[in-house]
Amino acid sequence: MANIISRKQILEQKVAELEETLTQLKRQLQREIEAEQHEAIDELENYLDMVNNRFANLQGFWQLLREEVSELLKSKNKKN
Amino acid sequence: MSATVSVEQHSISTSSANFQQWLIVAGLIYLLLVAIGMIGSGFKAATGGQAKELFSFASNPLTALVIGTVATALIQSSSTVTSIIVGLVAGGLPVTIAIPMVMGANIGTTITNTIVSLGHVKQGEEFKRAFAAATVHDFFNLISVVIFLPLEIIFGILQKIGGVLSNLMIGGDSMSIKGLNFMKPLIKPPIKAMQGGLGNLGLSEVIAGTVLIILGIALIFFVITFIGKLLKVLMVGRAKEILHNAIGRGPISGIATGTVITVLVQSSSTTTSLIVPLAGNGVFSLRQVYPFTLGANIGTCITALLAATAVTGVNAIFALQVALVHLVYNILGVVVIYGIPFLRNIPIRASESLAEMAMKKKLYVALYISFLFFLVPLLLIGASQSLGW
Repeated sequence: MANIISRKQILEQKVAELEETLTQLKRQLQREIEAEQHEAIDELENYLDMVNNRFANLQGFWQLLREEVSELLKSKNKKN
Repeated sequence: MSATVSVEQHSISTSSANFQQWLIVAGLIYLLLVAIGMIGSGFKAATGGQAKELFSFASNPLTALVIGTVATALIQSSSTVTSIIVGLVAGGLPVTIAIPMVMGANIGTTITNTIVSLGHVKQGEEFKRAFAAATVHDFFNLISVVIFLPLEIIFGILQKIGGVLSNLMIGGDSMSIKGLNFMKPLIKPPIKAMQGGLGNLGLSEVIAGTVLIILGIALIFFVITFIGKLLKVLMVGRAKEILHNAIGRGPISGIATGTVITVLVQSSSTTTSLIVPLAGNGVFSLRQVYPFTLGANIGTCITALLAATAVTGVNAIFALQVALVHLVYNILGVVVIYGIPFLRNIPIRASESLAEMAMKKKLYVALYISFLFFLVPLLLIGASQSLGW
């Protein structure tokens, strides 16, 4: 009986230790995510440039769209 | 020693340059108020107080919604469109027509961050994340219209809330708008001078009024574009500080941060567009950036409220009512849609699915933009006209 109790206690202790480790790892991960987020926010000026370059964004997209549509038409013509 | 002196001189010259830029911002806000006054006075002169008949073509709420959406999508500034709407209300546009227009402006403004997300179009997964972050705002605003437009048409719920609030603020028996309005002596003189100048040119009252409206709209364009550019530069440091403070604090803080940043830069599309690259590089998740975009919806109402302070006369209360309806509509949207978990998740799921498709085929992006902002609005107008609504 005493043996079973001590085994149970050991398991409970291990679970508690694992939970503690898990909590610490979660905290560490959260800190690293937040550190990355702070770094990204420090780049805000560069993102402002992206906001101001909407015309260039549209041009780049238009080029890709034209290529995709012409490929689509080519494959349709081949099927026909 | 010389390095310290040089740093001090640099700091003095920077703060002096900032002071000059703030003076320009103050001047631009004054010009915005004058522009609103010009539109109001122009409409009164051009229509002889019969503006309601002039806007009868938009008396159908769907048509008004479409006008708001397409105008904002083309101009890419909801602040400009809502300010013009406030000016039109000052000139006699009925509030019932203005409310769906304001809702449409909310939808139209989402095109800007969608275009910004196209900057990532060549980077597969990055584009998927950026496009989802941009379109989550679209889906939120669409759901908001689906919920509140029918309620507005049937019960006039927003109009009533806006009416009560505007009466509390400037109407009623206790506080007279005439007694409280300190803007009138500041704004009226330049408008009167312009009206006088146009009259001296021998223009009829209708033509002079029309010229005043066109000049007012052009001035709003100029002011909001220029003020946006200036505030972006002036406020970027403050915006960074606010964003740093918001990290790890949850969605309510995210909404508040989005609101404050939008008030500071006077542009919801700037706030929502800044979030797109942050989500695109994977540092912020879609669920984390979602509340910021909702805050942007609330923060953008400041421009229309500011514009409403420029309106004098009998329509001043209606101009304020529309500006307050814009605010109430956006706050209620956040409370109802974000507050109910089932509704809250719809924009997230919809934007993720669309982004998945968009990553595979760019054709879906083109179809989505043309359908949402141009084809569906035109179809709505056509259907409502043919049904005789």
